[in-house]
Amino acid sequence: MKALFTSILVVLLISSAAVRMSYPDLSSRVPVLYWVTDPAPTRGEQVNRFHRWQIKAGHSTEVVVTSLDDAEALRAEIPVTLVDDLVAVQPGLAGLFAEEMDAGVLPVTVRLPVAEVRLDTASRDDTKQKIQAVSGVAADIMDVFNGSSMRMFVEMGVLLDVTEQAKTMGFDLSKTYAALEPELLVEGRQYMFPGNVSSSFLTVNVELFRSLGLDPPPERWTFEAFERIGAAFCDEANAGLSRREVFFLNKIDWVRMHRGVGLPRFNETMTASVLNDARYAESLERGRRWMYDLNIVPTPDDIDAFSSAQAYGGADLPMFGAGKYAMIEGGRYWLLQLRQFDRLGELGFAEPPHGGFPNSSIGTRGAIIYKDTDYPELATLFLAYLASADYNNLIVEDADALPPNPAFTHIEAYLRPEAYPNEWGLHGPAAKIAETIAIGDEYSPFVLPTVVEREIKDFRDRFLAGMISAAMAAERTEATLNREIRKRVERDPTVRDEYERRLAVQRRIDALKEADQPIPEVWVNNPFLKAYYASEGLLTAEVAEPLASSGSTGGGM
Amino acid sequence: MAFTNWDLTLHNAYKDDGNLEFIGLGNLVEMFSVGDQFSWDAKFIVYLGNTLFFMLAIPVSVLGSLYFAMLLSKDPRAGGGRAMGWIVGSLGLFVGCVLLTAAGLAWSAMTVLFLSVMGVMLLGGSVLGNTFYRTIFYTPSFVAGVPTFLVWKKLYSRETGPVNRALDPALDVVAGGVMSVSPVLVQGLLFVGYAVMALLLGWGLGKMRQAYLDGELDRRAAVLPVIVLMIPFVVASQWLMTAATWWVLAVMVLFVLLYQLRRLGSGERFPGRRSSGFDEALVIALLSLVGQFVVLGLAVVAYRLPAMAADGLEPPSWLNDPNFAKPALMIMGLWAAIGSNNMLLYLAALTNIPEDLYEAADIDGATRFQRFWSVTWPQLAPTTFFILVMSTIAGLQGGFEMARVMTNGGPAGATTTLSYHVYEEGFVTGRLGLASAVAWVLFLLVFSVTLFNWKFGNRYVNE
Repeated sequence: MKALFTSILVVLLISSAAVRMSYPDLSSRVPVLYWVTDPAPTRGEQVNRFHRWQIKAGHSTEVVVTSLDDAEALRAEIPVTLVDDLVAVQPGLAGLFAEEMDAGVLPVTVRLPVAEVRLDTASRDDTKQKIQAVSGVAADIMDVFNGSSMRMFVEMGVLLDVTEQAKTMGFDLSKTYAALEPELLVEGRQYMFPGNVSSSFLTVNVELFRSLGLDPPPERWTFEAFERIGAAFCDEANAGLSRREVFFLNKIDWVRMHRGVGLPRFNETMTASVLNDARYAESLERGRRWMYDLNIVPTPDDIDAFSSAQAYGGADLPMFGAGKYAMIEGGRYWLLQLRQFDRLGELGFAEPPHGGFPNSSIGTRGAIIYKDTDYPELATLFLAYLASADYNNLIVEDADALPPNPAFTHIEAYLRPEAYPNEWGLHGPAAKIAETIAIGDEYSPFVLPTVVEREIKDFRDRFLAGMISAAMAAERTEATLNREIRKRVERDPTVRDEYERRLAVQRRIDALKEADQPIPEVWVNNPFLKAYYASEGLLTAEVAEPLASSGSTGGGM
Repeated sequence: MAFTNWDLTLHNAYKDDGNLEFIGLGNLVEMFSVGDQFSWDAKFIVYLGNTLFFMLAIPVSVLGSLYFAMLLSKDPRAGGGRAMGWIVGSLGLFVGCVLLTAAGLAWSAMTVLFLSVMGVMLLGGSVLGNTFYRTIFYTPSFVAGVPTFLVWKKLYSRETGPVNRALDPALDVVAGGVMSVSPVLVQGLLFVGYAVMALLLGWGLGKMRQAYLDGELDRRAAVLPVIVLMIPFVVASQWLMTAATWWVLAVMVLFVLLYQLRRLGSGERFPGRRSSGFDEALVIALLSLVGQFVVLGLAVVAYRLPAMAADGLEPPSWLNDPNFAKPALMIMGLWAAIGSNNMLLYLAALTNIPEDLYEAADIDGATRFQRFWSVTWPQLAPTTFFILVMSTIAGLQGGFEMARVMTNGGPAGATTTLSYHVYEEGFVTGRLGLASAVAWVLFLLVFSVTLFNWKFGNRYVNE
């Protein structure tokens, strides 16, 4: 047995050494930044263009290679992942980095980017990122979805504040969509810049409607119209089937359900939830009706059936591509994968249905920077790259949602991509709503977004399961959120002063509302209410009485 | 940690302005509260209830493991007649499943796969013997959890899963049968269930009474087991489904209690050690408790069958209905647990039972059941005890992976276990203080079981 174990140990050691020696040498002459993001196929190209952009934009260092020895040393110090990018913008270097170096290119001047970015798609998980961050081992750059994720990191104090760099390097709020303010800024400080932007809309399978002899839905429509058209569509599409297999929409946008009737989650100052409202209960009932009574939106059981019967993994896109969904809710990012479908017909656009107040949401996959990065200047340079023409043009080409800079949504390459005429009806409206009716999320500085989402979902699920009524769900949701706010204020002394100040402002706002007086815009922190009141003519730029301190007018936390 | 307000958003290496504060039992109070008041709707209590519900499967899994271990300790190839019996039985079961599925008038790839695998298992074992069956039964233990859960998720699909496709025609038959019988007769099964519950209670009390009279159970040691025995009775009195008819059960229980008291009073007690017999009495009480709950549930279903059948009996939405999600995961857990290490332990224990004990029993003319009850079961007592304790510990700690993959703790929190709750509070919201408090309570539960094992398990081994 001793001999056996010894032999096994020796074999393992030799194997380990062999595996280790087979690793390519990835050491780099330039600083390396790690970017934690999702494994979308376009990420590699985004990194490549960052390297090229640096050289073109002058963020580079020059190395003059005059001898064979210097050339060999440089080749050894440049990782293979960077070589292609160097040659792409400096064609004269092809001989230098060829498998068999061409000595004839010497002497040559090589411009190297100041930073190399490498992808880390294995760590793309909020929980993992949080633990790594507070443990001091997070990646330099991390992608998060929307301000809800970013704010947890901010609260933990692990993000680099890039407000000043954003102004000087050209990636502040003015370089992207104004509605993204609550997603990028926390109490006026910037911590994130978009990698892409998503305005929520419905992508319509126009060909499917026409094949059924129906007109595609209108671009703007009410909840009632949605129900009527959806019921008619489903009746026609499922005629003769023993089980419902074709649906009108892939899922319900629950936030749009109550925002569409003018109801936010929080009050004007973000100090309390306001969901204990008949309109919220009605929105829950409407959603349940769409799923379980009309069945124009699939129930969880229907979704499970897709996975089994259709041999799909339950993904929405294959269902949409197969003609099982008339429309799919989401953003332009769907095109990234939809373009891989063969025989996909004309795509149309429709806004989310509303109950009197047309609105949409806006979100972002944005990049944040770890506070303890070894290269803060280089990491912020990556954010500047996200605002560059090179990056925005790439987003336009790939249809990876909307480009961070809205100026690139007005160019021909965006509006009418030559290779995809079936999408032309989609691109313009998708960008238009991002600059018009889209509203950022509501983030109270007194409760974590993850807690808000969890509690809202918990009581909604109980309602959908028949465990509580819609009215009870509304009551308990508000009570729970307000309890969480009080707990947070009690626990965190740093927010108490702001909370008290906002309570005072709220009382004045309530008095003005009671008297049917317009509300000073500067007092309203809630981005939804700011937009809603503006559309209803309930805002005023004037302040009724001077306040001791108006504080931030940002979108919340 | 559990006595502080530790929160990742307030206290970590990057925060200079937050001071960790000692809050005493604040986290524990919060665990049991909704707002500022104690509430049965508190998340900890609900999730503890979920965890305990899943643990109801432990006795079933233990008995199942024992059953299959005993079954697999015999060679199905022994004797031509026996082998033929296996083959005929396997074919019959397979054909029955095929007919049930065909009655659903639809096939799916998963259904075909399910039936094929089952056919291979049943027929292959008859040919290859115990080794094949033992391997098959142990398979759930070493198959990776996540793929297994995904397969079961497909099995449970309401619309297209083979489980519901098989149940649908069966339920139609049941509905037809129920509708053809007077509703009063069907609803009367509720009272039959009550009677069975009373009998189970009587069985448990009878065992304790006999142990007491034999000097193997002390009066004080019997208090907690008796309380455990009465739990289903109390639940039935409060449950909305049975509150109206609970008085019938109360009368039955009263008769059982009077009978047991009379038998207790008429016997002479053999002197015994004080505070002895608690362990065995508790095990009996727990077994009886599970049996009573099962019967209670079935009785209520029977009572409601006429009304349900009138609307047509539909297969349930296993994973998306809060009422069925826990049983669904429990069934899957049983599938994995019965053929797990428990079965191996029993197989090993069975081979260690001295043959001379069976020979002595045969000489005394013992029946098959008497051989099991008087020889096999007592000899397996140490193993059974160990398995129960370890299963209880695993039950308290488990459920996380299963819930996360299959149901995400839903629907509506119906499958969230304590371990999942710890993860959510600690790493989703950053409230490590509260998560630590929950973890400590979980530890105390596990430790109490371990202490129970340490105190009473050794005595079994020594005996």
